[in-house]
Amino acid sequence: MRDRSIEKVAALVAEALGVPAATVNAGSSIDNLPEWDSEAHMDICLAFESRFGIALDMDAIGRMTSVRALASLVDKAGA
Amino acid sequence: MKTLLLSNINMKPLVALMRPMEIVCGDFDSILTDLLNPQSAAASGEYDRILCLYDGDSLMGEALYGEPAPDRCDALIAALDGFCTRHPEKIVVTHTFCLGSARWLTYADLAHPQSLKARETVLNQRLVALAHRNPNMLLFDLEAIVRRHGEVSLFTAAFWYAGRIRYTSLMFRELGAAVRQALDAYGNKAKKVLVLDLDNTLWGGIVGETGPHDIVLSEDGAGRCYRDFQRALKALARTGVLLAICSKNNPGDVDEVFERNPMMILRREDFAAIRVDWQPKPENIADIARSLDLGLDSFVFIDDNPVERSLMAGMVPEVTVPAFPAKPEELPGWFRHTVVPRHFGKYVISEEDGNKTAQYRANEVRHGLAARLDLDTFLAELGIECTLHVDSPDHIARAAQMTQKTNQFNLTTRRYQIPDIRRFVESNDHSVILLDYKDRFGSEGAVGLAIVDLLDGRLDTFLMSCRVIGRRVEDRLLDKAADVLRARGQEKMVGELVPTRRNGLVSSFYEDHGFRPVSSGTDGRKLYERSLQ
Repeated sequence: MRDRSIEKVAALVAEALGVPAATVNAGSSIDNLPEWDSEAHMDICLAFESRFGIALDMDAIGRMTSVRALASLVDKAGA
Repeated sequence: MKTLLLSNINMKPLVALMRPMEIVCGDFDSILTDLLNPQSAAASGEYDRILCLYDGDSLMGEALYGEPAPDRCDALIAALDGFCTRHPEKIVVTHTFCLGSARWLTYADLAHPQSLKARETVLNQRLVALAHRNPNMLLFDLEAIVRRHGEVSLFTAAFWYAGRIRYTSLMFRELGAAVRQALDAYGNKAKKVLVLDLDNTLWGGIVGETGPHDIVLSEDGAGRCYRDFQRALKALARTGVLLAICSKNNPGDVDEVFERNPMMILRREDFAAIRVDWQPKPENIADIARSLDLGLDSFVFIDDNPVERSLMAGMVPEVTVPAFPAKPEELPGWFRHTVVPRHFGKYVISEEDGNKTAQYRANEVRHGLAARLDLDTFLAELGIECTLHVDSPDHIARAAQMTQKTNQFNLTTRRYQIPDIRRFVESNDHSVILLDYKDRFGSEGAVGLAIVDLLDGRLDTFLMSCRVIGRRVEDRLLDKAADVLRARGQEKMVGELVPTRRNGLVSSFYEDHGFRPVSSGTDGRKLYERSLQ
């Protein structure tokens, strides 16, 4: 996975959650960030779609609950 | 004060989008209780604005043609009515019903006398009546947004089933803009005056170059873009917005367009103020503001030239200066979709609005010259760089073309062909000086030309493209001509002026640059002199 994708996704997640950029890193996910709850997850997914131009289906919204998972989508799409 | 957002679907993404407006989401699906219960958050003093952005399809449920709309539709309308009446101090923003296109049995529905489409119309009529009765209820047209972008780009099934979010980011942005525009219109934040440039803005082309009949303005092709733009401007003026002109042109050319060009939609009488001259536009707009007695913060300025826009934005920051579309075909749509809703939104249109231009025209009085705004600072910030080419064989074609096409800033208007210019370049008795211009907005290429007769020290040709007029670039061309003459041992420079119908702009050019008049022929041709010592 490219570091750049991780960086871009981490920054997007921090912005969507309204937390300092340093709070979010490659290992961040819905399980270890208190601000990342199921509601905030929708904000992240919406921001992700519009930032990278990648459409998420329902299944993806359910699974893409970590920085790594989202970054892997960016890599795959070459965005 | 805060804003409360009520909905029957997940509208949370709107909250972040609308910052810095402080919005709190009500409990999920609590519209009715919030509007009806006197102890609710909506009724409390904490919120002065309530956004009621509901999902019409959820309210309509699975109702079919022939069946009445579910009670909850009526209940919503009644609750809105009651709330607005009880709380005249609060503003309620809501929208029309706009049902999805994919409802069951659409053909049968369309044909049925009690179709859902008909129900939707009735509900909307009631909402409109409500908004009419309650001035604190602001109603915007949801269907207009859906028509513009379409359901495919505004609705998302994935997010709907994953988290009750009906809309895509695009729809949230559009809703945010619609709410903001409704609030601005209600708060009388609409602008009052629209100031327009002429060449390549109100019509295509440059009237000083083509004459009044050959500007791009017609019922076909590119000319129609400008004509449609004028139609939209005329409609805007009928809503009470004042139009004004601020343009760098010869007044005579513009008069001719108004009097003779049959394709003009806008007439002189449609403008509350007209400034056609060569003054810096910030000075002219300040002058217009004084004569109309309106604040510059109620002005919008539309000009195709990025340098003029930047000058305006930099020197008169109160004036709103929207970017200009790149292509003529985008002009009418850009104006109707972006400029009008964003800056000229209105909630109520009065009878006087239609007559405003006439009122202001009557009041308009000429004031003295505007106080000098700081043009020097602006020019310094523009980062102008000029390159001068003397007798360059690479620029012969361009030099000939400039003598053919330049009418306004052209002191002698002598037209030369390529062989003429080549002879000047190669001979020892003439010099051809070309000026290249660039600034931080980009390069304009060759914009100035001087042809100097080295034998009698005379400026045979001196011209500038009107794209750079007002930036004092002509001084650099004149300095270079002086240098060339000095190098040939001349002690004075002779200026020549041949007045034409189009070059009134330069009638005092020599006086302004330290020359003194020496002779004046019966044909109007004048000679001037300046020492080179």
